[in-house]
Amino acid sequence: MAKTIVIDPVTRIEGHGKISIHLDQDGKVADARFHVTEFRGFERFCEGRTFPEMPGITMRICGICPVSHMLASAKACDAIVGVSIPPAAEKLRRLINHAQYVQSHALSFFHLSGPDLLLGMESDPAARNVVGLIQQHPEIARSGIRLRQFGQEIIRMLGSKSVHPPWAVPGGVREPLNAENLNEISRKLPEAFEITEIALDLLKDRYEKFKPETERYGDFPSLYIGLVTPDGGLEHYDGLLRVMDAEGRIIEPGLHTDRYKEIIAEAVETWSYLKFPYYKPAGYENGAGLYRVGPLARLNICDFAGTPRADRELRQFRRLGVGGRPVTSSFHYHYARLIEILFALERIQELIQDPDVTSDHVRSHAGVNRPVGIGIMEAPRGTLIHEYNVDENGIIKKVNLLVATGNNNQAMNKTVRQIAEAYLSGNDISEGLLNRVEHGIRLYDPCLSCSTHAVGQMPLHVQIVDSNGEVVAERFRD
Amino acid sequence: MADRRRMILIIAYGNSLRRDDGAGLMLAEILERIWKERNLKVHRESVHQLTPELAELMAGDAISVVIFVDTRVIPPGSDSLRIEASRLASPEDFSPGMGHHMGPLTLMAYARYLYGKTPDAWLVTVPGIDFDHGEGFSDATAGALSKVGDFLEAMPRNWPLVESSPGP
Repeated sequence: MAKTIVIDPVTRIEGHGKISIHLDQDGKVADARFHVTEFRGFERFCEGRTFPEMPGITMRICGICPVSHMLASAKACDAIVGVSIPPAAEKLRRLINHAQYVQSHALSFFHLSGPDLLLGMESDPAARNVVGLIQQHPEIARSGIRLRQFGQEIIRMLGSKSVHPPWAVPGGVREPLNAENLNEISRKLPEAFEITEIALDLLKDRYEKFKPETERYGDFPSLYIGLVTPDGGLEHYDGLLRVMDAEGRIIEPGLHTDRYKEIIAEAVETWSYLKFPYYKPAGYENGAGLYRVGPLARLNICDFAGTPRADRELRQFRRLGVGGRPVTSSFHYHYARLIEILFALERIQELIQDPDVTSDHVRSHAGVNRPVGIGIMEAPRGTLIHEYNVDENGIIKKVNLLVATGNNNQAMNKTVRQIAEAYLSGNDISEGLLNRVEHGIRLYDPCLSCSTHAVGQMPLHVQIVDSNGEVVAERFRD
Repeated sequence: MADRRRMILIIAYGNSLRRDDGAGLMLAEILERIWKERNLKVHRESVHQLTPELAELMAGDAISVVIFVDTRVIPPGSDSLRIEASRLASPEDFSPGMGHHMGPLTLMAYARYLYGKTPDAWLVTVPGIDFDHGEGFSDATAGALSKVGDFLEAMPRNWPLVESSPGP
């Protein structure tokens, strides 16, 4: 009898993820679906607004990565006015983006995935939580907060507040950094490096223990997409789109971002509002065009990081790929995330020594010169695309947002299926299975519902439903 | 008698571009203004969502009480149209789920176990029914916000700077 298992977070409003695992007649996993509702309303909501408002509006999509939306939006606006922003503005934008990586990746590693990584996937649920983590590893928990604060503080220094800084504008930024803040960043950098190195050691020490997870948590061949510098280096703010295939061959070395529609198309499914982007030349059917973005993809596609410490780690990371092929397990998003924190800290160290970041010439001024503006950058969780169409007065006529969570949509579905295939046994909806599925999603650090929030913990509701629609097993987790 | 110069920390969260979801932010501004007019010491943090570093703020020596302010979902037609307050219990097990969401109790756990501080904490909620994209509030939410005075009147005298008391 065919059955469906539904893992349904009971949340205050729609917009959160729901997972259904579909079983075939033999009780084996036939399919898995990760249902999400988000974002499309924001695209419509922006129509009719003036384009300079867009960085301020779109950054409010998300409370964790507002800087990414602000910068992608500002880049799209730069394209509409058709100017090159001053060198100081670009460096300052890069600085705030690196700070964003530090705070966002630290949240993912220390606070969201920390309990699973440090206490174990199958540990007592009563202890596998923030309190359990703090009690066993208080120094790690405090370090995670301090590292996040370091990133948040830089964002606050530049944008005057840490969550939604109205700072990047068409043509540049509003304010440079002042000398006092430079000194403060410089003073705190050594501790940030130290915490990151400790986290790297901690993760690598546990790799052997997590060997089964690395083979079952999203370990499959796929394409990888992201930005690289013109010479192939790791890039988070600007650059060219590169595509790598599952064998590690570069099939698109460096496409100008304005041409992204030549390689990325979007499919829709009736059961999710989240788009299903795919690599256009390969097509959508049977997952042929499935690609991954984000830390894992970025470290796979780049030729080098470009900073000493990150490059040293990148060489170790590459050894996780079999036979010179890309690193295929999504479990290694954790490692890639930490390497990117290291990279961001090294870039911050370079930038604060650059006199341009205190320059007053931080903005170019112009009116509407082009009807379309495309801004593409790498958000912490993957490639982020803002595309705006405006009329001659700069009024927004159409908006297309392709966010990182969407880019990884197919991969998240495939990961859930793989975990369910490995750990689901009959109708036993164990705590371990729930946690593993959650962790599988967490690997991608998705913004499920950036524009809303929940009260307290997200409970889970799990159902097994047979082909007649009858619930044959059910479980709640508060 | 309560020390009127002890610090009240208001942490409001929500999205002002999702209509009623932003009502907590508005209520926080109103409470801050009222309490400051009463010569109380208030610090307000209005955020999109709760994040770990807020725990350090909660654990500050000057903080006597933390007031979380949020929107609560009510079904259309509900008669639960008042602002409500409830004291938060001591935290035990509150980890985030799949997303980036943290709740007040998670932050209380951080403050307690990382910084050794357990400030008195309350959750104050405004009813909300419309979470679509846009600004402004539904009639129900706007109506609730207009009755902040009634809400405060129903609370114990000197609230929130009281040691223990039931909600209204």
